[in-house]
Amino acid sequence: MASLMSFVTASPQYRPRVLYFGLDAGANQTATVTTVADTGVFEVQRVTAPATAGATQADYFVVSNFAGETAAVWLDIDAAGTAPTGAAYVAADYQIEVNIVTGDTATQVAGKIVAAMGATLPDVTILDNADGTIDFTSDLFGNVTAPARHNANDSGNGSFVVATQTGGVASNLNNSYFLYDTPDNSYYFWFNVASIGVDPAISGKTGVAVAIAASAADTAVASALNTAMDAQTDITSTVLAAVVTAVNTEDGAVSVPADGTAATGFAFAVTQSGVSAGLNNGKFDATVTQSDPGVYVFVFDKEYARVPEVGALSKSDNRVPRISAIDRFGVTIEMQDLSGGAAADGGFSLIVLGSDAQDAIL
Amino acid sequence: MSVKVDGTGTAALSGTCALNMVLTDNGTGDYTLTFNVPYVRVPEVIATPVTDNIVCKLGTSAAGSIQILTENLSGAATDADFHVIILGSDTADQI
Repeated sequence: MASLMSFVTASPQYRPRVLYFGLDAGANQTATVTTVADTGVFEVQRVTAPATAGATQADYFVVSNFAGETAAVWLDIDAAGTAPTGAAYVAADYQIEVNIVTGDTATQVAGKIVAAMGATLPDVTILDNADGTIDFTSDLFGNVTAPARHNANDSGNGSFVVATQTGGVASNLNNSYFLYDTPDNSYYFWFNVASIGVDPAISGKTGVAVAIAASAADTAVASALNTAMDAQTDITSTVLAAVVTAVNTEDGAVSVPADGTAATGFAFAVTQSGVSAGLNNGKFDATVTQSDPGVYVFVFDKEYARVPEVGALSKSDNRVPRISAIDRFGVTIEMQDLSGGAAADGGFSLIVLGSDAQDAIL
Repeated sequence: MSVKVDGTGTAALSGTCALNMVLTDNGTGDYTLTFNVPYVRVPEVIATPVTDNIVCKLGTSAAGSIQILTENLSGAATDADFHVIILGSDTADQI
């Protein structure tokens, strides 16, 4: 201070102004997400058709979809039959006649059933196995009412054979989501299982779909999640087995990851909390923001009359500060890693010394 | 006092107190600032690079001049632009 004062006396045009700051480096959040496997299974039911020779007029079977709608399919042999009178047939939502003729094989009968049904029963995919059997696969997860078989008046089983090949199980992950924040974005990652998911459309947040297969293992779920998270510009992620480690690319305090209302059942842990870079000491006649990792922009509350000079000293290991931009209104400090020079977060002390006089100091 | 040293290309001095000292380019990454009016005691100095991947180092310092050395991150002398802030006292007595 004595030096400055004496210098002012010697050079009246020198109007020094000093600002000084201590800045703590921010930290970027690191979080782990431990995934679980999907439980979803599509139910598969199988109907074995008889050859015409083994069938009786108006034999029928009933299949259902996940919503409980039913289709009753009956055989009309040589166009001489009449519709069944059984209660299951009468109550069916869809009643489908299949015209077969004497001499048809089981394979031909099955083919005619598939042709007659078409896409009548919603949310069910029908597959002709070309061997006399037909598979009815539910397009939705969960248990479906077992198929049934009858003769015309429900007094017997008729000639069809029905069985549940694979029991349906609800998906724990389809449409579920969890919340994840970065300093710039508020995300929800939601799971679209077997392409039948629906975006939960959380208001005010950015949705990212994670596509997985039904019954995906936890490691497959983690792999897909890792791909989705790493695709975001402000998240870097890695995966190891069933655990995704997500790192925000920018410093800043954020909410910890958490399950959404439709919960995933994942486990979330924050291994490094996000911290916003901040001034912690000095003469705060400026505001500071962090534009990118390791880049700190100071804007003086009052501009200098001429461009000031700046001294900066790192408070962090393996960092060296650099003046990447400066004018009368502010200065940008870039902290560089000593290994390679890449911009990297770091704390530092900063002194800004300039003059509020336009004239040259003599 | 504070100045900016343009050490890349033809070395030149600018900034707030550029008229109060003289710059000498001693070679690659080696600069001396000689004050018009020497301090009574050896001043303290902070130098901060403007050029990418540079570390500034204080060389010989005296009441009338200071030497600033600039190196790249591998420690090799490298020309660079940098700011210098010099703080000292014109009293011989300890503060």
